Amino acid sequence: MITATGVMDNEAVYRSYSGELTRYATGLVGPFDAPDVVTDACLKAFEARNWPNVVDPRAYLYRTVLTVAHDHHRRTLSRRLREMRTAGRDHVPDPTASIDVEVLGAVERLSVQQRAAVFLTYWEDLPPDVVGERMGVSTGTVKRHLDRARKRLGELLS
Amino acid sequence: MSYEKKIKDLMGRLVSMSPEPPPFPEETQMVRPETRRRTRPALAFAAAAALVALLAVPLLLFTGEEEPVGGGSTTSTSTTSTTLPATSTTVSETSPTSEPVTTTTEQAMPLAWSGVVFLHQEPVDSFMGNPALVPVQIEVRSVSDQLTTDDAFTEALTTIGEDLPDGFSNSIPGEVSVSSLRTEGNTIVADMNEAFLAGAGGLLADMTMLNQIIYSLTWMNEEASVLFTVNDEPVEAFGSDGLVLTDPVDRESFRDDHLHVINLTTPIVQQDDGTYLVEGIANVFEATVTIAVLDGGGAVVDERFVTATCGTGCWGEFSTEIDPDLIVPGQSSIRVFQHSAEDGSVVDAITVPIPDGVVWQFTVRG
Repeated sequence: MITATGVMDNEAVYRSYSGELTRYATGLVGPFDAPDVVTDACLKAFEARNWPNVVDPRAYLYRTVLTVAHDHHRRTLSRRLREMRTAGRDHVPDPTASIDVEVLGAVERLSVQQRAAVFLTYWEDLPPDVVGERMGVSTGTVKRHLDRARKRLGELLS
Repeated sequence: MSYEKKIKDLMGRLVSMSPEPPPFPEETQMVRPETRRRTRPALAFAAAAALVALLAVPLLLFTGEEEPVGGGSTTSTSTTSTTLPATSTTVSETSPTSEPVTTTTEQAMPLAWSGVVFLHQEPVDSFMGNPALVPVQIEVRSVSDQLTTDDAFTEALTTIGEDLPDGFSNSIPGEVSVSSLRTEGNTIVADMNEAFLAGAGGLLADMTMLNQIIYSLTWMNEEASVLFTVNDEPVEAFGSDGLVLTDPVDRESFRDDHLHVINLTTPIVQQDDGTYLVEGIANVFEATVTIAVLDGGGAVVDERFVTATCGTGCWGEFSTEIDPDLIVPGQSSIRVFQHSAEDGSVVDAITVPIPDGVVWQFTVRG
C-alpha cells in the first residue's frame, strides 16, 4: 500500500479495511453512526503527522476508530439514551426487521471499551494480546473489560 | 446454548446490522513523510471562566520550609506536613534522583516541598469511561537547600508516574516538564517544555493530562486560571487534536466532557482532629454520592450517603468526615460511587487506599 514514491496509498488502505472497520464501528456505536465514525477515524488517521511512518495501518486504524467512537459516544450519550428509551416503549419485536433493538439495547449496557473487547474477542476471535494491541491497552485491561462486560450482559443472556 | 455462544450470537446479530462502508473520504490528502504538516487542525474549546480578582494568588503550592503566599485556599485540609510522622521517610542510597521512595526508615534529606499532585484513576462500571481525578499528598526531599519550589513541583508533577500503586495512573508523559511558573493577577502562567505540545497520545489522554496539571497548579486557589506557554509563546496547537490553548483555562474548562462524574479534590489524609476528610466534586443522579470504608480485605465496614451541592446535570461539591476508628492506615480504602438510577447497582466507583503517612516521597538532586 505504499506507492512508488514512498507515500502511503490512503485509498488502497481504505479499500482494504473499510468493510471490517465499519463492522467494528457498528459493534462500538451501532449501525446508524458507524459510517460517520469510520469516516472521521480515517480522516484523522490519514492526516495524522505520524501516519506516513505507521508500520501496521490496520492496527492503527482500529485504534483510531476506537478513539473516535469513544469521543462520539460521550458527545451523543444523552441523545442516544433518549432514542433507546423511545424505541423500547414503542418496540414490537419483528424478526424480519433490519434493526434489532434488543441487541442495541444490550450493547448500550456496555462502555465503548467493553464493546471493543467483546467484539474483537467474540466476533473476530482474537486472543487477548492481539485485542490489546488493537485497543492500545494491556492484556490485563482487556481481560478486565471482558469480565465486566460478561457481568453486565449476564442477566440478559442467562 | 453456552454463555459464550450467546455472546457470539449477540455480536452476530449486531454485525448483521452493519451498513455498507462509507465512500472513501475524498477530502483527505496524502501526507508525505518529508512534507508532513507542521500545524495540526485547531479545535476551538471553551475559554476559561471569568476570573475572580484576587490581590494575591497563592502560586506556591508548597509548604515545607516555605509558607504559601496569600490565602485563598478553599479546601479544609492544610498543605502542611505536620501530620506526617517525623520518621516516615528515608532516602535510599541507590536513588539519588527522583525515584519514588516508599520505605520507612530514618530521614536523610531535608524536606524541600510538601504538596498535592493530581493523578487519575479508571473508574469501575462507568458508562462514560472518563478518568477520575484523585489527588495525592507527596513530599519532595533534596540534598540541596537551593532547590526552588518550581523545580520541586516539576519533579513531583512529571516523575510521579514511575512507580504508581494499583489504581492510580498518570497521563503526563515523562518527557514533559514545567520550565517555570509565575503569576499574573489571578492567572498562573505555566511555561512548559516543547514536549508538552505533543500531548499525551489521544484526545482523552490529552485532556486528562491538562486536567491533572490544572488541578495540581490550582490546588491552593481553585479560582485561579492557568495559561500554558512554551518558550514563553502561546500554545496554538496542543495534543492530537491541535487544541488552541492561547487563553487561560481553569478547573471547569475540560470538566464536563472529559472528567469522571465523581472526582476527589483533596487527598484523603488524617486531619488535626483525627478524622479523615473525603472531599470532591460530582455530577451524579440526584446529587447523591455514596462513600464506603473498606477494610484490608475489601469488606465494607461503613457506608454513608452524602448530598452534593448540585447534581443530575450540574456539578456540586461533597464532603464527609470519617471516624478514625474505622480506618487502619495502610490497609483501609475509601470507595466513592453512586447507585445506578436504573437498577440500584454500584456504578462509577473509584477506590482510594488510605496511606500510612504520605503516599509518595521523592528525592531530587539539588
